[in-house]
Amino acid sequence: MRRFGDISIEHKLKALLLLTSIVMLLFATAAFVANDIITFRHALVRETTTLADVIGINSTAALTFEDEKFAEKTLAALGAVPHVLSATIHTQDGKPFARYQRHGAPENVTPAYSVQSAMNAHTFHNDYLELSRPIMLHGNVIGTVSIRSDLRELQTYLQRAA
Amino acid sequence: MKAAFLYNFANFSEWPEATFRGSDAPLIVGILGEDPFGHHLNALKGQSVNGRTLEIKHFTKTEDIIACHILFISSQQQKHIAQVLETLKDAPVLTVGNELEELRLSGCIINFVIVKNKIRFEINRASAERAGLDISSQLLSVATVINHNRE
Repeated sequence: MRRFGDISIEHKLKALLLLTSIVMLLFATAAFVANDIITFRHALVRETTTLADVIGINSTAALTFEDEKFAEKTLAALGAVPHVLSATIHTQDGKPFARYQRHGAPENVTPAYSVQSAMNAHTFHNDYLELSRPIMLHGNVIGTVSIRSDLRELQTYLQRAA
Repeated sequence: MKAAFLYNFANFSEWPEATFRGSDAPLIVGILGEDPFGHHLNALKGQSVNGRTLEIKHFTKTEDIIACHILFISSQQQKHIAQVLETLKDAPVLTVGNELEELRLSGCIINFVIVKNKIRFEINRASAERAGLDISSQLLSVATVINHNRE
């Protein structure tokens, strides 16, 4: 094998250029993927927030008049959103009021209630996003809605990118 | 429970602006006949409903009824419902009956019913419309809705 010193300047320059291009390309790809992940996460938070707010608005009467059946019907509409794993409505004092679980979703995916989650909050876990929003009636908090969304779309994308 | 419901009916209904003496005038809940709520109703006094404070008034007889936004008609007064509604003449008053046998025949707007040991309620949309009250679709969604006009 020839040593680096034996190679002509022309070839050295070519090799250097090639190496630089490869490194730049890798950096650019990494940046694109990172950007896509951030964009995806932002979009998922935004979409899940909207879903939670719509559920909240449609559950005010159910919460106020203690109609769990109607709250469950409202939550069942989440069945149309494939990435929603589960959702729970809690009363103002933190008691579970109504829940939804996607058909075939693993057991025990109902978000746990915590005081912190009572307000606007979202946390990304390994394979799901958990998000909570307050349910308001005339400016008063009357309960909370929490939604768990899976990250399958992102995972599929990353597998393709890898 | 029923007292809390009564208060919350106000949260899901809208009265014509003219029924209030001013932008900060109270929302008046009238109780006709014996008050079955006791201290539960007192707890609601002064609560705010959509920016207005709640005021409670008690009427012993039909003739005593004065302007109010919600009128709860106690079981004892139920035989006088026709007379009460005659007095109100389709004024924008949310009339609430207590476990009436037939809401559609009574002409009241809301009726408390007990279903499987739970307090639920029926709403007669036609009566609400005639009284000029705007009842939120949210409230209707958790009620048994009937649509029956009194002849």
